[in-house]
Amino acid sequence: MAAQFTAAAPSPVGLPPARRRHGRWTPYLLLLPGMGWLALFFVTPVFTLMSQAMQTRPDGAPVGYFRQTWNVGHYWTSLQEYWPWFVRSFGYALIATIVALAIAFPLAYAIAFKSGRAKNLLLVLVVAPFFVSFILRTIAWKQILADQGPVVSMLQTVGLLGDNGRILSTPVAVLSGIIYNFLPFMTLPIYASLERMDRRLTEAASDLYANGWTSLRKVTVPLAMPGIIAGTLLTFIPAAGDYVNAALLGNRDTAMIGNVIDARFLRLSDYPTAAALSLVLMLSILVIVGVYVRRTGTEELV
Amino acid sequence: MSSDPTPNGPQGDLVLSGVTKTFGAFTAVQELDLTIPAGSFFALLGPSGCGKTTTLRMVAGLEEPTSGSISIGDQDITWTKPYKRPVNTVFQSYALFPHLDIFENVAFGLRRQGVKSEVKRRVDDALELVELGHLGKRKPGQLSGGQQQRVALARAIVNRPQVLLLDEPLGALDLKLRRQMQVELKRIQTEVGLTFVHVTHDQEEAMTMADTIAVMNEGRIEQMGSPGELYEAPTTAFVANFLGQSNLLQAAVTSRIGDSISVEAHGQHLTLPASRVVSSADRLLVGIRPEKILLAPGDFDEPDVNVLRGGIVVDTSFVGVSTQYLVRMPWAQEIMVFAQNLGVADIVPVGTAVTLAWNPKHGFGLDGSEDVNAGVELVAAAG
Repeated sequence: MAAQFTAAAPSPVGLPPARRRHGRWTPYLLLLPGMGWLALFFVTPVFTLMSQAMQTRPDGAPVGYFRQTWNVGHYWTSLQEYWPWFVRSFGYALIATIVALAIAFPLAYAIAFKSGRAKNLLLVLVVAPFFVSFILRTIAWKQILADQGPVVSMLQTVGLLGDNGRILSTPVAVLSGIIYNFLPFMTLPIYASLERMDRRLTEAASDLYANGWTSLRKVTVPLAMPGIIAGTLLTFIPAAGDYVNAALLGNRDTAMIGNVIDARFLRLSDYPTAAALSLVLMLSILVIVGVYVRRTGTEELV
Repeated sequence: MSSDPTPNGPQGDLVLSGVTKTFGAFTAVQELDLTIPAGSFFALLGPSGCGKTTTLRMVAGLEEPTSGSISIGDQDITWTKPYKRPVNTVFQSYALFPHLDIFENVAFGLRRQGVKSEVKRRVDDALELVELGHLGKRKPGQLSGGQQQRVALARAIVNRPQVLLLDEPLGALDLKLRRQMQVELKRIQTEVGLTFVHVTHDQEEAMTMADTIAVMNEGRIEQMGSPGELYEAPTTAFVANFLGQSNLLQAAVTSRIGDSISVEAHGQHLTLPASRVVSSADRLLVGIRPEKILLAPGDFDEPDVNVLRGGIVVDTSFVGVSTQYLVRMPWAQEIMVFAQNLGVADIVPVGTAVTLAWNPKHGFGLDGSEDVNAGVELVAAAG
């Protein structure tokens, strides 16, 4: 009797063993579509890129003709040749992330805590740009920053810009575009974090001798950290690889690594260099993000 | 500007004078005058919406009074920013900082005040006081409700404020834990000797812990005194009903001889001591607590005892330590009687004709124009 009882104990509800085994596979079944998608559209291209990056054009071969030579040196030579574009890309991405954060945090704070009944309207306004295509909006910025446009003439009137000064085709234009385009990605996660925050914590902070500024630094910002980290990642990663803003609003001197890859692949048919640059870019972003997330504390991300 | 928030010198009384707070058309607190002596355990007791939490928040600086002033000792703090007041609060929701561990939560106030060398010792002492010394490295989310409550207390006490405010601090705990924390809070108050101002709607909690209770109703203080005074000699129908239970009888004064007032209530003759009557009106409410009444089957007669005849038991409930009777009187009023379980008499069954009697000195007299049921439904709501 006793033996029987213990034997039955693991499945007390009387589930047949077959069904339990089936249940064990459920998570994998659920993962299958996503994994399949990633294998097809991420893993395969990455391997294609890796193989392409090690090809060489034989002497005298026509443009765009390459042979697999397992030449690992392309990674190094492409980095040697194009490192200034890498530096510029990461520099722009960093500046854009910082400026976007400086704009988005007060914005998200105001929407979360100070907007009252206008909250939903303001949130819609933050998201509204997505109703128009990314490219179209960037072209619109071309108009706004044009030499005869309102921004330039205003800055000239105030004297901040010389009579022949311009904004278009300068780093300022490229940065403005990047910041504008990625602002919602910064704002929304920060808003979500602040919204979740218990307002009574700031009262507790002020009761415990923290003035408004200290309470922001010691309580509000740390509690908004998950949103801040998510927002900075969602801005920095695509900004580092962006080429649309530099292509439409910049010139040769503001070209980013995305523009170089674009040109190598599509205009010069220099596939090995383009592939090597793509992989180096991916890897460097991975390293930067890894260090950043490690430094700011991984548990904040969940 | 540099008002030292942690004075170790003599503390002052907390004084509220003429404090009024209105929110739009609603008056939360009305012309409140209150002096809370330094070092006392003071309870503000009242139903929800009576203005007690608003009063507390004004002392903390989280609300600004519409008029009136608040001071501690000779220091006027009416317009002082909350972070500059020598006052700390234990919030009802605890409001512990979820991103900081327990040690840093408790150290928060000290660090903001620029305390450097003593932080570790003082935080450890405070955690020791609430018996959580071993949990310093945990995060608030990993603690039980009772433990979080203690952390909130330690976080406030560690700053040695002149006044510690407690906003329904035990409201979220279950009954057993609440009892335990009541004893604990009282012990800690005695140990640290700070002024505690405790806001609660739980009359038992207020009576257990406080030296002085102020009963608040609709933005005013109804009565203030020691738990014993409030219970034995309430001065308003609200206090009589909100703090424990009372039987209130409509009565008319027939004579005043010396220290004794004779009244007639529904045709029955009663007396009560003049010192226990708060009104000089001709119509009074005669109050008597249920446990002061003796219930006797049949008739009962004895000199110098107040007797009500003609009652019929309509309900009995045995609760162990006592039996609670509901007795319907000829004038349709139901009177509550608590009979202590001394193991001498049997429970009087429902339907028995009984006589109620009590010693005249246990009765109290209120103004006859008051509402007999003031505060009754609020007890049910607050409970």
